[in-house]
Parts: sequence; structure tokens; C-alpha cells
Amino acid sequence: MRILIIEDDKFFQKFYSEKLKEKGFEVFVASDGEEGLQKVGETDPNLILLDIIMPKKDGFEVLEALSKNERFHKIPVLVFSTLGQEQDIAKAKSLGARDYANKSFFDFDDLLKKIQTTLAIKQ
Amino acid sequence: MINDTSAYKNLYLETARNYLNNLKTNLSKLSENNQDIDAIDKVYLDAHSLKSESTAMNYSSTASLCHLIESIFREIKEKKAFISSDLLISLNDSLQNIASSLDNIDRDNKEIDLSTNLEKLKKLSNIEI
Repeated sequence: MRILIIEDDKFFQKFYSEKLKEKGFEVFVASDGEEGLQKVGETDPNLILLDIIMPKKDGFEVLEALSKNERFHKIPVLVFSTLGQEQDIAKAKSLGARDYANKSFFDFDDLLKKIQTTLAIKQ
Repeated sequence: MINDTSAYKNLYLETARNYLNNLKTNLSKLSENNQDIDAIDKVYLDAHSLKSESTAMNYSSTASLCHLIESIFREIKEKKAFISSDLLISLNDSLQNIASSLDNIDRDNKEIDLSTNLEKLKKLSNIEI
């Protein structure tokens, strides 16, 4: 299973990449929204982990672009951010995000469960 | 919060120090030109990222201060606030203390209390977080 992480922070890029690879996922990383949209086409991910606040295109803009693309609009997107406010979660979901995780208040096991639920895979 | 924070401490310190250097550079640009949109945007993004990492590593004092800096710069980006010389002085002081806190984390695995900086910035900015 291929996961594309679109996240500008090197710490979180490395943390999530390592943890997901340990669980057997093939992981690709993009450092901003523009690169992220390019890599969606290149990597054909089964799932996208998307940060919101990023340079160039932010996560909301990426969600909008994906939703308008016939090839990519069905790829499930999990948004993770420290924004955490109800209106941001609602906005992400209205733009097509499947689920939302707050980076501040959860641990990797929680994210993994959301990924597995979204992909409907059993490990 | 990340459960095994010790495994990621060095990664945190490396990336946090990098953000701090960028923040100092961009505050220096803003002291020359407080309308520098690129510098304002970069301070906002880097403060946000440093807040996120610090939160994940449970360095809550650092996270709170970075959260306030992020909020201040969101207001500035939206033209609801402007950068004064007092604000710049307080921000530079905050960055200095965040640097000291990172050194403390490196040595003793503990951040220092940054609440004095937090309260000063709150008063200057009228922002509550």
C-alpha cells in the first residue's frame, strides 16, 4: 500500500515515514502543496496524509485541486494538523477529506487505526 | 504526544534549531522593513511548525510561545496588526530564550519556563491563546 505524506515539517516527515515503513507501507513524501499535487500523479498513492498549513499551496488548496481532478478525486485523504478548530475540520471535510487527526493530541497508533479504517485493511 | 520522545529528541533539536535560525533571519529582515510580506509569511509558517513539533514532543512551554507568535503573525498577515519596534524586541527576546530552552533540552531533557516571554507578548499583542 502506497501512502503519500504531504507535509512541510522535516520532523514529522521523518517520524511518520519511519513509523509507516515499519508497518509495511511504501511511503512517499512531498514538502509543500505544489510538490504534493505533482507526486500524486507520479506515485498513484492509495492514501494521502495531508498537512494544512504549508508553503506554496496549503492543504485546503490541495484538497480542492484533488476534488476537481477526475483521476485523483477518489484517493482518500486524511488531514492532520495542529489547527484543531471545528471550522477547520469542517472545511477540510467539506473539501473531501475522509478524516482529520490533530497532531497535538494523538499518537501514532491512533493515526494507524484511522489509516487502516480508511483503507479497510486488516493487519 | 509521541510516546517514545527520546528516540526523536535529536531530530527535534536539529529541526527546531533550524526553524529558530530562520525565525531570527526573518525578524532581522522585518526590523529593516516591517512590510516584508515574504518574511512575515515565513515567520508565521516557521512558528507554526515549531509549535507543532514542540507539542508532539510535549515541550508545552515552547509550544505555547510559538503558538502565540504564530497567532500574532496571522493577525499581521491579515493586516489586523502591525509590527512595532517593541514587538520586535520582545520577539527577539523570545527567540533567545527558546534557543536557551533547546540547549537545556539537549543537556537535561527539560525545557525552561518561557511564561515570562509569553505574558509580555500577550500584553503587547492583546492576543490570548
